[in-house]
Amino acid sequence: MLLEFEKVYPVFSWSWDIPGDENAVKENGDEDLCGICRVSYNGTCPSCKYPGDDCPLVIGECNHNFHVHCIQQWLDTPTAKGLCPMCRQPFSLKRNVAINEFQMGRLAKVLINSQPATLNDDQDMMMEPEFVVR
Amino acid sequence: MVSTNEETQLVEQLHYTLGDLDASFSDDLEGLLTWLNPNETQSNHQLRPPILRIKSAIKTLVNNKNAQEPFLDLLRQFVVYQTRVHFFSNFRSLVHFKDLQKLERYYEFPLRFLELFGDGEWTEEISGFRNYLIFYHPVLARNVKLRLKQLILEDDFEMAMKVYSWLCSAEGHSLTQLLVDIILAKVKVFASKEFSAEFTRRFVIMETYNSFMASFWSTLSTMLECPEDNHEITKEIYESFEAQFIEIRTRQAFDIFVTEYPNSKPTLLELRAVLKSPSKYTQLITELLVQFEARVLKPSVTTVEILLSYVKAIKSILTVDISNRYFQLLTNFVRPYLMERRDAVVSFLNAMLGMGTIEHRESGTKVSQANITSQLSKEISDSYQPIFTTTMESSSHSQQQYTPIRATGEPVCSQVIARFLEWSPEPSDSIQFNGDNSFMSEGIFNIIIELFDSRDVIIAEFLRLFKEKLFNLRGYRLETNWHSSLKILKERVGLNKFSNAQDFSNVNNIDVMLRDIKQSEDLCCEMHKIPNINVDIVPKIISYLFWGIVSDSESSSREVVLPTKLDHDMTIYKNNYAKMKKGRKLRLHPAQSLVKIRLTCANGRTSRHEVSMDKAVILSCFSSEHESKSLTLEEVSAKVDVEKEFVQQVLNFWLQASVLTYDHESGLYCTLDHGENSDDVKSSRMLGSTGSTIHGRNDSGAAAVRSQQQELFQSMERVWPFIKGMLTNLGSMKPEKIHSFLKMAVPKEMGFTATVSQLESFLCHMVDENQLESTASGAFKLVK
Repeated sequence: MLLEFEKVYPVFSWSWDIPGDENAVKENGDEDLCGICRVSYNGTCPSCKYPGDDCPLVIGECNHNFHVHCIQQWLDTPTAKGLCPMCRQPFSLKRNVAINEFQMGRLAKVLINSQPATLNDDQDMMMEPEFVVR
Repeated sequence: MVSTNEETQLVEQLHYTLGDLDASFSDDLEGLLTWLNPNETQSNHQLRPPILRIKSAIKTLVNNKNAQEPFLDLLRQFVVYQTRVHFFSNFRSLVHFKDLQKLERYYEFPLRFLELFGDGEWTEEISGFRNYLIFYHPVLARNVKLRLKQLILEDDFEMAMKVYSWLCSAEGHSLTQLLVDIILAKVKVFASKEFSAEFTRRFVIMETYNSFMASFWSTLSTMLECPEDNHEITKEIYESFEAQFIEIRTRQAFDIFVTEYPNSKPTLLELRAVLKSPSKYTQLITELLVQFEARVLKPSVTTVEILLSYVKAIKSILTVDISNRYFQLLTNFVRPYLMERRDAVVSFLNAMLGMGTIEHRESGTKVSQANITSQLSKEISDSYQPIFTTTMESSSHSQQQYTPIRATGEPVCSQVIARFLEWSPEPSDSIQFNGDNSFMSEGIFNIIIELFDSRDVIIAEFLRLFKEKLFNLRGYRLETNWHSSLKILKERVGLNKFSNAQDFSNVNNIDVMLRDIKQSEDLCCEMHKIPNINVDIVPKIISYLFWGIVSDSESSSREVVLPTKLDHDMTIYKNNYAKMKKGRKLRLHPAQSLVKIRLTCANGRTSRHEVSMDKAVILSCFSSEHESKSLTLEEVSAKVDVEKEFVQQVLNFWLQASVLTYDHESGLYCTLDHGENSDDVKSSRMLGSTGSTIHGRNDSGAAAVRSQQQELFQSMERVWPFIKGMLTNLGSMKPEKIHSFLKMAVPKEMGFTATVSQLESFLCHMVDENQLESTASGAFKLVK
């Protein structure tokens, strides 16, 4: 007997392709949640309706991931001082990651504005747009 | 015959008065007296004309101008005396009217030949007897009245007239009341004949009344000795027709409200016009409920039928009941029963989506069932309109026409008091629902929705159906019925009112789903432009979180190993997606995916199937160009990397579809390549979602029930802490109460779907386990 597929209606589910994610051991299921809104990466931030293109994800250099709207809002607050809300390291986007490609420009401005006034040289460099991505 | 003193005296006197003539006429006199005497049953007239000798005796002695008055007087006395003697010794044996007639004829017969009594004399005598009979022979009196009734009912007015006049003369006055009672009884019979099966005619009461009057009124009015335009009685007759109509229709409540519904509308409208007092309404609705329970709320009646009956009944009630108070009673009555039916919401939604004819038939539902569903969907489809309450106005209008003077007998002031100051409340059972106009304007649909526990149930069920539908979609286009249903649900069920977070997320989910499908279509178009891509693949790309699908680790056990070609195609699509949507990846869900496959057997027979992808993939292990392949369960399981239970299920599915055969000895599954019974091979249209209904073959009924129970208890174990908590706080509780508490308390994610009876069986189970104890009142409490 020969079986041929005449027509296929596959159902795919999409998810954000986070590098290294496959190997990460998920301990308590927390891994997949945006550190700010506590909603899954593949869901939306509280102000969005549709996931995906409308509410993308960004990956920080510190390997903390957030909905772009969430981190944007965070960085807009004066207390943020441009730091990652999770680990308090200066927040910047991870380089050479497909997810981040479209979000660079969007976050650059925010990041510059949110830098604290007194910074050492090392941190000063990040104020230049091209250094937002290290 | 033994002669009494009085008799002998009379006879002697008669002889004496004859005087000289006595010698020659003595024998004639004796003969005449015997002939006249009703007591001489053997030798008297016996209702025959007198023989010649008697005739000549009559001629000489009585019908003679020379006859002396004393003699005649004595003769009269004699006749009266003898008749009385006969009457009083015999009247007890009279039972029927015809006996009476016979007796009276018996008495009167000889007098026809004698000019003995004047005009009124004899009649008076007879009236005396009649009067005596009426008062001292109740059995006869009753029989005669019954006879009169019977005759009138049988339309024998000639005879009835006789009986009636007899009665009147016996009573000494005309018996209008009796006659009216009988007429009303006649109305009853007439009405029940005319009304019984006439649901489609309008103005039945009026027409029946008219035909009744046309055929009988002239006769009846003569009997009643009233003018034909006596409106007091005609009005009473008309009212009696109305009362009959209500009574008969109340008895037929279920038939006219449900069985015959759309056709019985005229009669419903007529019923509305005549129903005036709340008590009649209550009676009607009570009767309807009783019949509804007896005929519909039974285990043998399918849920769709119940729903259909319910919708029809509601529509009927709304037609009849202008105050919109009573339908709530039906809803409250049916709801607990329907809550026991788990398929209630699905049936309702199916009907709403108009799937009675299309999709139901596909999944092998009986045609009759589909018919009922389509009927229901028709009934529901016109229920979105607001209910027009024009009748309200007409009813208040008729109130104004109320004549202030009701009866001339009453003083005006008491009439005014009765009219305006005395108010008795409507029966409390009818005011459970306060006629709220805004509610009404939303239409019958909302009343139907009320039937279900909560709107959430409907939304959740709709969501499930919707999801299933989208998964099974063969393209990207949704049928219009889904769109319209979605729109209606959004409007009616308040999907877009966002009363709570759950609703919000439900609506959001639907929107996201629709958008996913839309975007999939765009993406598919784009992808199919890529050269060398397999265009027979029509992908759906979903945001899994919004479709209630677990994307990660848990479901990975179902990640079947695809055949090389298919896997290659899928990879192409995945890669292209990653290129188009930067930073995203795809994951295939074979259980949700749908494929059309063609099976070509070695003998050239082909068959087509439409199944979920995982089923097809498991079958593809047997695919081979030439020879037929045989594999064991383990081999298949290893090949596709899926756990054995699931493979077993799918193989059973293919066994049932007559694609595979199973050899019990070797434990090998083999393709049915050379099967002669190609006719038996039916194209299976089982979809992935329905595949779960196929159990192992050796599942006997009892085992299935047991496992079902086990399953139920397992699911109930999860809510056990809740039950325990509430019993700790509140002491003992009845199952219904626990059920409603659980419904509120258990989080949605946990999903509490058990019915009251299921909960009760679980509680009983816990009693057996010594965790609970049941009280005499049917409540449960914790064991201390």
